[in-house]
Amino acid sequence: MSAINDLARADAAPVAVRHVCDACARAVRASGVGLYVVGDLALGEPVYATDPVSERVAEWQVTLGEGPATRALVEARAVEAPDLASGQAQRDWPAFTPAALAAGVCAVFAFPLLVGAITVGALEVYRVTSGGLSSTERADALLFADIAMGLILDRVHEIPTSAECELFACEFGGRWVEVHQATGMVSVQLDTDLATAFLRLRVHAFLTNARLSVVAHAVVECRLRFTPDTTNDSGTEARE
Amino acid sequence: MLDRLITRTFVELADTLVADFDIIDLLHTLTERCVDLLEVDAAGILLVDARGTLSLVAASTEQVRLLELFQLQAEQGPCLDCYHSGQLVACTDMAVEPRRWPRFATAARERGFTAVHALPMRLRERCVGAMNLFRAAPGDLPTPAAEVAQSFADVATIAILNMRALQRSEQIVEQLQAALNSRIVIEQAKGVLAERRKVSLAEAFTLMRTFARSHNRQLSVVARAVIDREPTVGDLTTGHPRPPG
Repeated sequence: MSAINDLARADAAPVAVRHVCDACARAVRASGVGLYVVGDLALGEPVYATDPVSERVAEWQVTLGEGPATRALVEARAVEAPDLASGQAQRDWPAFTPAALAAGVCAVFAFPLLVGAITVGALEVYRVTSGGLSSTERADALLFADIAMGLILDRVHEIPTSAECELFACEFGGRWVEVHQATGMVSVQLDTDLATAFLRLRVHAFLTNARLSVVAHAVVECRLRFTPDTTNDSGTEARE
Repeated sequence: MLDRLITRTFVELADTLVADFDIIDLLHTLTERCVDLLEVDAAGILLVDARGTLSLVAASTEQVRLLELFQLQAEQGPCLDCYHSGQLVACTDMAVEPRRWPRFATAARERGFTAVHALPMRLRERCVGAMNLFRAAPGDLPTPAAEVAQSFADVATIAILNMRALQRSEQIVEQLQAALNSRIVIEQAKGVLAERRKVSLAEAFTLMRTFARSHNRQLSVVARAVIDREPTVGDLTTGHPRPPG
């Protein structure tokens, strides 16, 4: 789409997901857009967000393990929440919904990136006002999801190389590697498997109301260690 | 009874669009059904592969199998013309029109075939092969039979294209999943190794790369082994080199 190419040209860079997300936000009148790629352990991994608020909301979704994009990933279908203040949203995502509302987001629409029957990621649209998408906006969002998916597919053979940085180019993608590194470190600290280590990181982020990427950063910098504590009910102790 | 068999053939062809199936088996069955239903004596199916090479995938009798192979070798014959043109090619009596495909006509007659009806296996602009019907006696294929035959060919074409598209997208998905996964696994392994060996993440990465190179293995494979605590990377994770021998 020309809007995407214009953005890329202005950046003097090859078309990357950030251009797709930025153009999408404009086209569907969103306050922000986030893109996830299917990560390890059946959760999405946020790779790009158009703005800090979207970044925070996407990160909370992964921390809490629930939300529209998470469901879109698992069920391979669009998930629309035009009013997060509604009872339905509260029931669907009891932890995510208040976190999103607290960040100022009132409506969320998630679209899976599909290749045949397989979901490789999700595109999530955020709005600070409640209300549904018009059919044109929905059609546009689906198209952007397709484009993002095509972009990832096209460049897949170049991963893992510097081309990945171009594709996912942004702060988020760079920082998220620390989440994986921290998962590895914590798995050794707790003498457990990666899934459990990842869960412990997320729980710690939740309990301390901290961003998962910040917790991971602290682990990677050896300012935060996890130790198994058999006297503690929660089973682990995190020392800073 | 014939109607029921025709219907069943269509149902079986359509079934392949929704379930796992063996396409070669299906095409064999199709050639047999053509013989049962369409008043022809033999049938063969040629398909083109990903590289554009035409080959025989099914034949109802040994005789027609040899004849189709002959066509491919001689690079001459009604079925090839059909595939290349994407159009129906028919000859009611090859004895009368020997000049069209002189060598093929002789070979066909030697095997007892006089008439041929080659139907394109085509979806819009894409031709994937040809379904070929042979008769011992000269004569035209009656219109109802010709229509059923073309319908069989059409549905079979859709099934083949669908299966190939699915295979391609499955391949792509596998590649994508592997690529996305390996970058995560490498980062996780860096963390595991850094913690185990009490080194920085950068050093951990260097250790992994060195190990991968000296053991001639892919980095992502080594990373996976580190995470799975495989003994093969024991000296990498512990830092104690194994004694020689």
